[in-house]
Amino acid sequence: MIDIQHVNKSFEDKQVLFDVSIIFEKGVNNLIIGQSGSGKTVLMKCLLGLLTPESGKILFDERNFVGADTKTLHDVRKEVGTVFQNSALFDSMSVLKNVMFPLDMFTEWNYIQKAERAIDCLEQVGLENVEDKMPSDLSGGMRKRVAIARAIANRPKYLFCDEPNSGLDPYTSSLIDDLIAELTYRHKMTTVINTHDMNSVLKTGDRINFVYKGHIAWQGTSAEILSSGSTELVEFLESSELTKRLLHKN
Amino acid sequence: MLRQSLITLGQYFRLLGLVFQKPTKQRLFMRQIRDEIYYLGVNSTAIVAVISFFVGAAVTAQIKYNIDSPFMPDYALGFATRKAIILEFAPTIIGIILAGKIGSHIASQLGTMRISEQIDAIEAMGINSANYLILPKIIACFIFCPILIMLSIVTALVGGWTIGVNVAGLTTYQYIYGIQFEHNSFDLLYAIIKIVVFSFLISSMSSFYGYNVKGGALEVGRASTKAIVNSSIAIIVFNMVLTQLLIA
Ligand SMILES: Nc1ncnc2c1ncn2[C@@H]1O[C@H](COP(=O)(O)OP(=O)(O)OP(=O)(O)O)[C@@H](O)[C@H]1O
Ligand SMILES: [Mg+2]
Repeated sequence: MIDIQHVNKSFEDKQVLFDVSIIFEKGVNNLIIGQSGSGKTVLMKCLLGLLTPESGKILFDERNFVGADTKTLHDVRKEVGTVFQNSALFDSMSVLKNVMFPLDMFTEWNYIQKAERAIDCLEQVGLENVEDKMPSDLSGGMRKRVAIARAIANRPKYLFCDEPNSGLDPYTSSLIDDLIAELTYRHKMTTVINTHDMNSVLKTGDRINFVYKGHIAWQGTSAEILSSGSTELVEFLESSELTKRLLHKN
Repeated sequence: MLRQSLITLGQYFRLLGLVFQKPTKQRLFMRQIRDEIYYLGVNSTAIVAVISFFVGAAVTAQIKYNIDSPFMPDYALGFATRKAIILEFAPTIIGIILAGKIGSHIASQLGTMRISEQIDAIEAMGINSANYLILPKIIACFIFCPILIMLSIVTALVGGWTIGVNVAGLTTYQYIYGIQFEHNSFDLLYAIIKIVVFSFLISSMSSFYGYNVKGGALEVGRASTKAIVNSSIAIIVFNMVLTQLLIA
């Protein structure tokens, strides 16, 4: 469980997050949705300690992460798997090396064990026979899948995905959603997903947090989202043809 | 201006504080050093050899034309060439060449990793990215720069020999006698001390500029230029200081 309490974050004179409080529960898909520029990535970077909020607390199972010493920071991060918005694969390493990287760093396994796990993770995201390719030889969607494989390689307790299905076709996108959801349930991970894909919101949104201009404007589940009563959220939902039709059917 | 420089200097030392820590995985660290020696060092041997050869030849020719006199013994040409090359030309010129080659390589590599969030990805895994990425480069430079300076000295002396024998009319024996005359092994140590200091300046400064890139591809290019210019200046300044310290 991750408990975010009253987090504020600004850049120079521009405030991006305003008094954000969320509880991300274990074993469910926690979604953060909102328009481009609403602060989703900034919030996720605060969760990773890559950005430091001016005030507030972020508790990873009781361990406060804001202003923590380097050791606590690194200890918590070792339990986190992250998929960055633009994949962030290491372009000097092959796909296999990329997925093996967390294992290289944090396990004492031999090469065979690490390679087996890596290939298994690649299979889980639907990639085969790409182990020896370099990231620059892959399509955007494939890179994303490699990034997911790398994130889950070391069986993290917390999984953070920044728009895991942006740039993917609806079919692959839906596979990725199912995959993340299944991994979350199976490994009882605390999963946080940034997205503006309405399909995934309706399908895998166990808990949904709607961010509007840096404020948490609504919280609920995918079953409740169509009857939220929040004007900002309705406006956001209307921008997608899919949810717009559903809204008007109700 | 001064304030900004002091802030930058402070950030530089803070980065060094992060760099000089125990690596997460010892075995991986060794492998990284080996790779960096290859990328940074082995790939620089050709350019170092070519430039040293011609600089050695030019230095010998200059000495020959400018201070040649009937009173000068035959071995003087080789002797003066050796002194000039070991004491000044090899360390400084190799320093400047490496600042261009290694400095731009390091700065653009780290800069690209920064803007494509690869450094964030390393940090997010709980790895000290400065230590993981920069320390192997600095150590690799420590290891191969003394080797490069030896290579540079040898090829420069061969360059000098080419001129000495073909243009200045010396025999090979006279030239070699000259370069061995009053052999002083401190001179070599002196050259190595200089290049070790320079290699540290190059690798750490260009890492600093690359690691702290903000923005896009344009900024990566800018960081790369800054790395070359500033480490070259640092080399020239430190060269003067070291010359004073070591000779005096
Ligand atoms: N390093 C930074 N410095 C200054 N401003 C920043 C920085 N990072 C983000 N911002 C600003 O914070 C705001 C929120 O950005 P953020 O990247 O979190 O949006 P997002 O919700 O992830 O959008 P998208 O869906 O497009 O990824 C933006 O206005 C952005 O300009
Ligand atoms: Mg974003």
